[in-house]
Amino acid sequence: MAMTRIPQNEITIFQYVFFIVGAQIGIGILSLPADVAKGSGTDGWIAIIFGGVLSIIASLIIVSIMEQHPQDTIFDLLLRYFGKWFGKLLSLLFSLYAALAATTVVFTSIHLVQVWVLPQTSNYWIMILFMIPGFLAARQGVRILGRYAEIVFYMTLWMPLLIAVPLKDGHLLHLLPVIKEGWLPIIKTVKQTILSFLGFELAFLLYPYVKEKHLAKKGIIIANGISMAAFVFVTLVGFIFYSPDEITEYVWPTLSLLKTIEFPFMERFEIIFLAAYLFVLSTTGIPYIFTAVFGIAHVLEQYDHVRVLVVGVGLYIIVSFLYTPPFADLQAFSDWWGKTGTIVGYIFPVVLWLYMKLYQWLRGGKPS
Amino acid sequence: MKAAALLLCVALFLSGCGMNTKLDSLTMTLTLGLDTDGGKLLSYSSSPVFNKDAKEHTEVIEVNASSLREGRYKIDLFASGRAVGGKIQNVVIGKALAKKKEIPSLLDVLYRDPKNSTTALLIVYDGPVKELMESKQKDKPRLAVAIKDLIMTTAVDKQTVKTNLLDFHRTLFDKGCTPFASEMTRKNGKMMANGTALFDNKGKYVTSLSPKETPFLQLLRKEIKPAIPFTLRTAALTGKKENISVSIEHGKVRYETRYRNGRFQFHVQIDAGVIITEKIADIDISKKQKKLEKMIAHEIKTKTTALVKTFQHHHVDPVGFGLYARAYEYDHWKKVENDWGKAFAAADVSVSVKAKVISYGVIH
Amino acid sequence: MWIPSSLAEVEATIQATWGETPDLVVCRLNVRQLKKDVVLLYLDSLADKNSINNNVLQPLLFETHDATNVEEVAVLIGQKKYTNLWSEVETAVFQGESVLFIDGEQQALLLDTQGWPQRAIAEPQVESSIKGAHQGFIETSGKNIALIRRYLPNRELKVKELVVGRRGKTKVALLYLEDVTHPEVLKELEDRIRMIDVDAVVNTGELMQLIEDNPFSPFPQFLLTERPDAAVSNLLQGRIVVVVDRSPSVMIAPMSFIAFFQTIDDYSTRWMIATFLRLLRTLAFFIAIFLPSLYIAAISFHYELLPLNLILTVGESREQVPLPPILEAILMELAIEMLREAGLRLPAPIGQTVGIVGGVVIGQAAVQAGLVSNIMVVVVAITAIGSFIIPNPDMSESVRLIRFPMMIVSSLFGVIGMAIGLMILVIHLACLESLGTPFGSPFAPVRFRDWKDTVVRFPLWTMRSRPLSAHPIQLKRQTKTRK
Repeated sequence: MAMTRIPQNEITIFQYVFFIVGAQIGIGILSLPADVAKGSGTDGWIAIIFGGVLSIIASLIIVSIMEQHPQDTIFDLLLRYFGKWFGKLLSLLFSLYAALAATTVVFTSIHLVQVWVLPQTSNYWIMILFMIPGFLAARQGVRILGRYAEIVFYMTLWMPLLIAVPLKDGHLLHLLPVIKEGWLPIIKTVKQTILSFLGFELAFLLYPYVKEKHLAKKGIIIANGISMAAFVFVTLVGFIFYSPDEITEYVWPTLSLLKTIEFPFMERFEIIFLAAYLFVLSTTGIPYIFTAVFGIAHVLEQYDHVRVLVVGVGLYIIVSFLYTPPFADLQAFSDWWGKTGTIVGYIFPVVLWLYMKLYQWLRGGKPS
Repeated sequence: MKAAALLLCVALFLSGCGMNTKLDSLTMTLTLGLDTDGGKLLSYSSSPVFNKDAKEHTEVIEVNASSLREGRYKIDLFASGRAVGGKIQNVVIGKALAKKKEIPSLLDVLYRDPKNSTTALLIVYDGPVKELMESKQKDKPRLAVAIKDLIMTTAVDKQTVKTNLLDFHRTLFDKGCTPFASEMTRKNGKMMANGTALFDNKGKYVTSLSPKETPFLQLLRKEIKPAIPFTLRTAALTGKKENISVSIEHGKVRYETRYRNGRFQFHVQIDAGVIITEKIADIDISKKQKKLEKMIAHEIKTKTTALVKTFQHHHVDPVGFGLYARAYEYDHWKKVENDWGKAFAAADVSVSVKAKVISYGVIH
Repeated sequence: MWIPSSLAEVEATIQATWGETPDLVVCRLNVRQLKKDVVLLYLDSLADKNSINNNVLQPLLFETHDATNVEEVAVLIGQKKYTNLWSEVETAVFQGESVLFIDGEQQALLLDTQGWPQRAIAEPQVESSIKGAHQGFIETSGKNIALIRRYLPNRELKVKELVVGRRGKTKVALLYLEDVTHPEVLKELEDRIRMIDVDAVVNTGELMQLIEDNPFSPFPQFLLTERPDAAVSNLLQGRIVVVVDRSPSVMIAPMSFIAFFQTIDDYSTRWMIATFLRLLRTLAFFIAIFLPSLYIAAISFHYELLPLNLILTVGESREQVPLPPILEAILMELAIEMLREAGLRLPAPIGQTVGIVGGVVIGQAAVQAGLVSNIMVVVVAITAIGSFIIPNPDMSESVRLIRFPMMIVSSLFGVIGMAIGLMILVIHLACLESLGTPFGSPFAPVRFRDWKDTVVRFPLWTMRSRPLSAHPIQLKRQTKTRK
């Protein structure tokens, strides 16, 4: 008996910020220190800052695109500018991109759980387990997802403190000298950080729901800033704790770091940490699942996205029965996500923006 | 919600998932021993037994295997429970083995499988590991606890070091320093901590530091807290063979790094604040404080310089001079980073010490 | 059907309506005021005989001044009503009123002479309080409204009365502060109550279930209380109090999750102590849900989590136990629940025996027999205490129920299962609404200003605005009176 009399599918500016932060901080951060260290040693954190600046620029472009039609999601916008068929095709591609992202996150999470915590549990059981909260959350609208992202953000604020505990055994000397090999390797490494920053492109979907639209630009800068701070923090902790030669030995240095934490009542914090980190992963995976499902429902002109969601969740479970991705495949997934993410998050907004300008100019300067 | 509940019920009955590792049916290796006996690799596991009927509450299994992982499978053959390594407290390696083989390759499984503990202490045992593993000490708790307590408390007194598997891994892979671990032996049927074992950058045992030298290694590594105690002779002051015990309560150790004439130059500046803990010699401290301070400084300087000489002689760098070389002379470091031991052996290291007595205790 | 004007017809109709009703009193008398015959009708069991004798019969029989019509008949009763509908007569008689029919008149006089058996106002049984008032609600809605009015002598306190149930005809009163409560929320509640179509609503708990937002949620979405001061405190926050006649507990809506962990005593206690107690309850909430599952997870999956000394202790204590941890835990938890249920419905002296038997069986014999480990007993005991600390009985029961799925999922997936379980709870709380207002407020959505009165309690003077969870239309509640 859900009789809601105060229906507002609106999210506050904070929910919007944390929604994007949640989508950005996910699987990337666990391997980020090793990834950037491979490219540019202990100067990798500078590359992350560059990556952050890039993502801020891209997100500002996205917000200014969306500002032109404040009631439209990207799917409405594509139909508006590209006509029915081409618009739908683009919408479908965007949804497929989101589905790829969701798949990468889900399978990587399962892999993490299997490697670190439950080595003997088959992946389809974990998939079924993960899909229960996934379904419950993704069948709701943006408002609930916003609330969820917000509360999870506050619930996970203790995690950086835990990560900082091993710092006492670290050497700041590892960071010196700054800019060891010049700027070139740093610039080359920026590409590695793109995957971690992906998530801001969900502003394409979120913008029409934001209540305080005039703050949207500020909000997305803050969101990218928070994520950047988190990435730089984790990377610096990794660099200070591990020597530059050693960190590349680890696949997930952040988790290996936590193995050393021992309290008199509990040891092996990486297990607890990983369990709690599932919350963080859920705020990455669920928004992407939602975006994919919402987009496909939009393309199919279904008012309610739950039916598509049921099909999607069913597909995930069936696939997990048939296919256990080996680690190499997961990396391929990540690579693909990184590549398509570069297109969707960075190139597509610029092209779309130019196209819209051209379109409006041809129509005599009036927005259609 | 209903669907979820149903799924869970199904899951419960199928129970195909979640191979439980029930705590009381595990053979948890608490102390892992590795040794060699003529070309064979011997692996020992000591694990607690949870059963009232069993007379011994510790089960020791010996197998010979080509690797640790294979060893575990063999241990499984003997063990009443499933053998697991998640709670290993100590890894004891026989000195004979450490001399012969590079130990990182032996320990690989402990790092690779995230289920294994990386906070286990790494200990080099001077003697056959078997005698330690099978020793029964009536006045001590379980072997694993006894060994761990022994090393931890001795490390607080700075007479040995506390190196866990992860520390070993970190120092091993860092090109700027070489690993070290605590050393144990047995004397009169009792186990005792016995200084520090040093490894080269491949992880092969090189030499040992005595319990008397170890405090100065700790000093150089800036591991001063809570205090570094040592005893020195006061012959220079009183002309008699007498002792005075002091302990360094706080201090600053600064490193200056330069590269001159084709080699690295390190200058170590130690400012130590010491307190007098025991005075057997008949000296009026308040009158001769300056002299005493000078003597303590001299003692520290001699000891540390000798220690550095030892390191250079063996081409090892447990202190981590290489870290400073990398941080401050990166270009020159880059050329020698793969053979730092040799470059360090050629480096000039000078030590200067200032000591200050901050307390005599509560009696004059 | 209209009321017939001749008394003979009236008597016939009475006979037809109440055939076999031995406690019905039909009394024909001649009234001197009117010089006419009248019939007085009431139900002996529901009416107050003293009142009828002194205030009705006496003036009717002995008053001498002349009256020409019904309106002028003198009786010593303040609340007089007139009706010409037979159905209203029926209702009135069943409410304990007396009806006066006058010969030749179409109108009947309804006199308020109610007097049914009722209990004296007493200390609330379930929610006892240390510093709050010691008056609890009773089974008469009029008295209950009176108890609330005593706290709020304010014309903005409105009472809206509805009748629910075809047979039961239960009077349901909605109390609210008109300048604080959001009209949409009120409308929503009113609509939902009006939509109810049942035989009777016996207790407030039934009404609550009929109008809940999500009946499939394990959590209660409305609060039941038997304390007038708690009801008033919620009224002041812009919530609506629903007083159901014949039920000693009132319902408060809309509600937020955290309010179930607060008691009225918190506001009478100094803020540091109140904060400490609230933190303790929050801790108890998590312990009650997660401790047994954490134990199961640690024993069956993650022995690494426990420090060595604890492992040795646990291992030794479990050595003889034949059951897997999940069954061991469920066995003990069920035993505790049974004991609790047994003790609850038994008279107090026997209840104590149950406690002793349970204590001996669970505490000693089970461990000695090797059925369960003593660590498990400690875990179960702490969990039980944790669930008792939660002040609201409905929420406490919800928490005890959630524990079981948590235990199962943790026996299958360890801490990962627990994390997913918590995730489902969080998502559920973020979705759940109470009368269309967010149930999880101020946590989901996050409203920092309202955190002053959640798991902590700030000093009273700092809480200058009403919490947003009930969407009050008047936010300000007090001014800043001290620094």
